[in-house]
Amino acid sequence: MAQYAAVTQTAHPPVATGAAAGWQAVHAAGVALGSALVADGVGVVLLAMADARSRSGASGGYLLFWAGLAAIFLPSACVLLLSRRSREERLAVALGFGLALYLAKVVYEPTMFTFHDEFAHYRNASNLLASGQLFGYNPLIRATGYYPGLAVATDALVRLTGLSIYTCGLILMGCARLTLVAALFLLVDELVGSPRAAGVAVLVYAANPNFLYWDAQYAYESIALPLAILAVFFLARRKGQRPSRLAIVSSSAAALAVVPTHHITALALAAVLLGWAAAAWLSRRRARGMTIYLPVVPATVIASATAVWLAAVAPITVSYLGPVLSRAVTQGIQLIVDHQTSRTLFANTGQAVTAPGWEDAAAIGGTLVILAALPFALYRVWRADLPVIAKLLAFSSVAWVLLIPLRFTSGGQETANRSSEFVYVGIAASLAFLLESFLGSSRWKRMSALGIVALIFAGGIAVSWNFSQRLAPDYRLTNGSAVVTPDDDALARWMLAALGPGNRIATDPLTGLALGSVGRQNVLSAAENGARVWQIFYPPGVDGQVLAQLRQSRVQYVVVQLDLLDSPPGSARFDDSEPAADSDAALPAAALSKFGESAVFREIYAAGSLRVYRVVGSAGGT
Amino acid sequence: MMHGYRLPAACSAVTVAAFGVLCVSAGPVRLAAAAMLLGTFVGAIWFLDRAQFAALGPAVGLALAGLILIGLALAAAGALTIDVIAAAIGASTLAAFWASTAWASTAWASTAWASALHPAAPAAAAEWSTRRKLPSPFAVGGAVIFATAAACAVHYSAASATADSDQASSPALWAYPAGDRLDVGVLQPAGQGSTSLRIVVTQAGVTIAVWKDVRVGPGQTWEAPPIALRGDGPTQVAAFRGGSVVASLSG
Repeated sequence: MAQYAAVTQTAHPPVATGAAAGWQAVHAAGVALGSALVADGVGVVLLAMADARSRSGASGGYLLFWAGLAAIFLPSACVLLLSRRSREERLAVALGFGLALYLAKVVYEPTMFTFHDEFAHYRNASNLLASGQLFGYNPLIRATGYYPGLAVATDALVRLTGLSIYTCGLILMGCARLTLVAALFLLVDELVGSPRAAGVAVLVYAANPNFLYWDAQYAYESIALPLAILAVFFLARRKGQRPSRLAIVSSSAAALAVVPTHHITALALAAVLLGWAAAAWLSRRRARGMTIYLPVVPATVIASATAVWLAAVAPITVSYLGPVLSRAVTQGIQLIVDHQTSRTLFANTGQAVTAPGWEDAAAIGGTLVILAALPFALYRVWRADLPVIAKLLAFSSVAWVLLIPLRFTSGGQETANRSSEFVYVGIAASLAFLLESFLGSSRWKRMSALGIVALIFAGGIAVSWNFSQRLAPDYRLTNGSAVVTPDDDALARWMLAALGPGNRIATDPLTGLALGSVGRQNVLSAAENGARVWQIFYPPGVDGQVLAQLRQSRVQYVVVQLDLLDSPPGSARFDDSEPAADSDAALPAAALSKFGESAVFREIYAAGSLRVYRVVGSAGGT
Repeated sequence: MMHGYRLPAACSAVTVAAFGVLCVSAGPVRLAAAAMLLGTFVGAIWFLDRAQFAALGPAVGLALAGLILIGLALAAAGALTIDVIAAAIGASTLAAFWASTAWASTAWASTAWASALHPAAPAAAAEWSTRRKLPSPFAVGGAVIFATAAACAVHYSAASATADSDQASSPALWAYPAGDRLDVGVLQPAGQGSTSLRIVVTQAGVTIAVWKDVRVGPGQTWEAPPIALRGDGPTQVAAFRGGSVVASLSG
């Protein structure tokens, strides 16, 4: 209780009284806020310059990238951690900080979607716009088609404004980022009773490896997670009191929008609400006479809605998430029992360039700092007179600790990484509560707190995205192109216009992204329709295996990317499930040139390194 | 009491006007009307929480949730059209404006209102009549500079990405049979200058069509008149610039 009182006192520092002092304070606050926002703008310009240099193959992009991030982070962190600004000013700084980091993704590629999942969601929006029907077929990630929340919001915006799917996607993601930062700030402010702690929470949350790019991409989680945090914020009250009916209705609206938007976020939200209800019920039994709010109705509604959606609309979710989770569990158990790791941290997986050593050191340092601080933070949270939901969120950070070993396994790494944006809510709340007690005391302690948060932030950025792809890619590089190229995009548009949508196409995954999204073609893959496209591509001649697979998968067109001849051995070229014996060997030129020499194929399109072949005769799917 | 109805009445008028313009317009006018309609939608939710600065983020979030739920309901009903979406958003906006006005006018609600959605709000914000604190000119200036810098950064980035993309694009040549015809065409990337091509089509070793001096500008497409094919013999199409082959197709 005493701790809570101390937090509340330091969180609302006394402001000088008197008209002159009042004006000075307002003046100083305006200067601090204005300076932080100007620095955000400068940071975004530096990031745009960094990406432009990287795209054109010029040097210096890396330094500009970190300079841009420093310009965004440091002034905002100084205002949020060190100054005595008011609640509104801190919130404004936090919003500027969050939006500036969102713009880092926008300037990465401001003309079209870039990341893998963005193409899948483009297809969903495109399907809905074309047909007006929900649950259209999505060959890129089938499961996403059964979570149409993002697609319907995009559809509504596209129809109303007449803007492109891409522009509307950017607007929606910007609004989602604004919501995320505001909801997290207000949630921690409400629970801890300190706007300064709320500012710290935003800074720490921004250090989660998925904040910079992953959760800024046009994808269902990017919009669902902010709504989930907003739903919790509406229900949370400082002393665990009951929220108003309007708040419960608002929370339910936000939570119900999560259910048809993203599976894991809906499950996580249902788990949090159910856990909150159970913990509050236990607390109420222990402390008889206290009025603690039990979120039984919201928890029941959201858990039921999520279960019904999973069972009735999207049972495919189980087969989509199941293999990923089971692989993580299996390799995690192997790690514990056999002490066998299947992955080396910071290993170079075939990229031409590797991250400098200081980035690895920052990543390890940031992780160690969180590991060291969490026990103290959780102890303080446990002892403090905080609402049940505050303690629940804080202790959810333990999941992050438990998932760290999975980063040493190839199968569990994805699970550990993809959980960051969820478990960092707990880490942010815990560290904010711990650091809050630092910030009211001596200057060196405040500077230490700034240093700790800066290290965690730099560490988070260092592991946020593969180093070689952290800046915008150079389109002219042809070593097994790592991005969808302008030629891919032009081909996709031509195919849609000339051949119509829905043709069955065998190609490599990157070319398939453009064809499956912009081109609205049915790109074949083992995961989504059981096709074994590698059996078409790897043989050096058109043999029985090629013909059998063409017939079995009813292939109509084969699209060949000749740059694949330069792709390094060791990574899958045509499908994640292709045999290692194929992907570990160099790809022979005959494997791709055979299509032009066989009567089974008719070459119909050529541009740069792309070739399109129509499958003719009885071998084809037509 | 009349004073309390002026703002919702004005906002309602803007909503209705935006809806009307949206239904009958196109292009930039429609875009402006849509922005106005969506702006009043967010504003209506924001007013539910007394238009405090801190309530802006949650209002945007609730508007997103509203867009998802409205879109889902309309899609399920097979009614995803501009008019119906605009009508649903407009009706939700009007309902929010007038519900907040009606509720706020009741005595019991006025004191508890500020804590309805936004619990940590200062007590003074409960009253509509409370004078809003104007933001500092430095803060406003900072926000304007941020917005301008962000717009410039995105514009600069888009221009540089488009230029790089155009430079990295290749000319495309296509020839695909449609029934007993062959459709032939060429696309010149936007980043490359105008070019003059010679396009030759042969079938079973016999030249069946030649186009000399086909001029294609940057970003332009040229399509040949459909060519009648003679039987099933293999066709070859080649595009020459001077003496060199730019692209060729066979099969």
